[in-house]
Amino acid sequence: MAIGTRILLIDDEEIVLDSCTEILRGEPYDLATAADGTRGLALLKEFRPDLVVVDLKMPGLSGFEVLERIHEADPTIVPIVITGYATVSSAVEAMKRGAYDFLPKPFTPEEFRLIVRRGAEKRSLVLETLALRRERELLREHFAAIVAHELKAPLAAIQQNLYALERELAPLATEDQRTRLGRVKVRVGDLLQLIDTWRRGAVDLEAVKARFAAVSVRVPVEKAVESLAVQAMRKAVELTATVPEPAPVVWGDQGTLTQVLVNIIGNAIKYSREGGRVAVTAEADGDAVRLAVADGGIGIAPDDLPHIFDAFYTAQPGAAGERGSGLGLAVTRRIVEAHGGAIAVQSTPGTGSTFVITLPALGEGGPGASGRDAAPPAAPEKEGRR
Amino acid sequence: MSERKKLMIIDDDPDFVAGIRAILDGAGYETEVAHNPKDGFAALKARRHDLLLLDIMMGRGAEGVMMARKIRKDPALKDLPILIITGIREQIAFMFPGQAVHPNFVALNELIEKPVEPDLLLERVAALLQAAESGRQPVS
Repeated sequence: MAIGTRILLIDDEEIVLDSCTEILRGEPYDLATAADGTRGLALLKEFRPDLVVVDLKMPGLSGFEVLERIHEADPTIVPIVITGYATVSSAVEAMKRGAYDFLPKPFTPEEFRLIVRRGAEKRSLVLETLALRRERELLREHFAAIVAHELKAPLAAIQQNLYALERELAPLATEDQRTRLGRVKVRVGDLLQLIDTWRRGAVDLEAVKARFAAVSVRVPVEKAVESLAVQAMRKAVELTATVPEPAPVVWGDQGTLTQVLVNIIGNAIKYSREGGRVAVTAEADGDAVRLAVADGGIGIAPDDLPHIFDAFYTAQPGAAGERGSGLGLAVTRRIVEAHGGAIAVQSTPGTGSTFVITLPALGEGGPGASGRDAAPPAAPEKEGRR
Repeated sequence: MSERKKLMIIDDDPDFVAGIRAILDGAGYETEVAHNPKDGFAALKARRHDLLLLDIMMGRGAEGVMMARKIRKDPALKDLPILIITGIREQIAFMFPGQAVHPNFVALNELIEKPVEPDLLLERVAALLQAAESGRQPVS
């Protein structure tokens, strides 16, 4: 277990370095020695010790200072101090400051071997704990993504085969069979979308807030429009985006803001008529940035309007029987509110709906605002700016 | 088309592969399948292919990404058109924040999401093959 443990020994007495080297000869360790603190610290990066054994009383940099610097460089390194007879109190002090163990001079070879072995065991426990903690955090952070992938993979396989079967059976199937196959396809598609929506809703908004940065609204607008281009094309819906130059900047998370727009624009396309038009507009309005998504679609009934942002509320099915999961807009509102913004809607049945997202604008001196005013050129640039 | 185009599919889900293979075979393409990156790479080295359809999440993680990088570094394969078919479009955006939806983390030609509608699949495959034939990258 302790095989290959790297030990750095720092002591100004050559005889201590030599005898310790001798004691550990034949043991499964890599050993490096340094005659003073400065040289010892210089070795940290290159040698990357698991264990540092340091004499507290040395000319130049003191053992305490060395301990401190080691802790700064890598708090997982296990430090052991060597103390003289007269400095038991400093050994106590060293332990208080994070030394794992101490070794009073003079010591026997057996004592030295024992303390090094214990230190090596401690180090491997520290590393194991760290690895487990990292794995746990990774799992927690990506839990929703992992579950979503596991749920979607079999559904994607089912849907892909339905697509293939529909084509292959087209000349043979009766009208009724074709209709039923079509309905199965729709239901599986709904399920796939529901999983995506759930995954977005499972986003840990506190973690998202922690990575807020200055975002030019051009980036989420263009990304959302690009990712929905195929959907719009299928329905012959003309999808346009207008962002002023320079583009307004907000303090937020580009990924979730893109999700918000994908959701709103996706709805607008869904409830548009064939050959309709969906317009996305961004504009600065004093201290606020307004993102508007307007469609000329079927609109929302006045009875439904006050409830559409509530979780699990589903409005009347649309003209072609469109029906949502009742999660999309609720998730959207949560994300907008986490950005300190608000979302509102105006709608007239039969004429269309306009969703307006208002976000606080990031002023010139806002956090991280410096040097971010440059918006990407309007040309079809594929690289998002961060 | 004088000769049938050869498509390589690398994806670890045999049922999904059966679905796209039926569509591609039905359209007259010749398809070969590998269910892991290792076998897939060996097959690509052994025989000439006109296009690769590649899954991302295989084995212990995003092995498709590593696979695509390896292909781009291989002198004999670096110009092979790659069509990524993945169920994790959004996760990719998450893993490579700040990148466009078509990520630049590896020089791939196209990325589409699972499941893929037959018309879209055939259209992208045809476009990539045509672009490769005329010796230039398609403008996505």
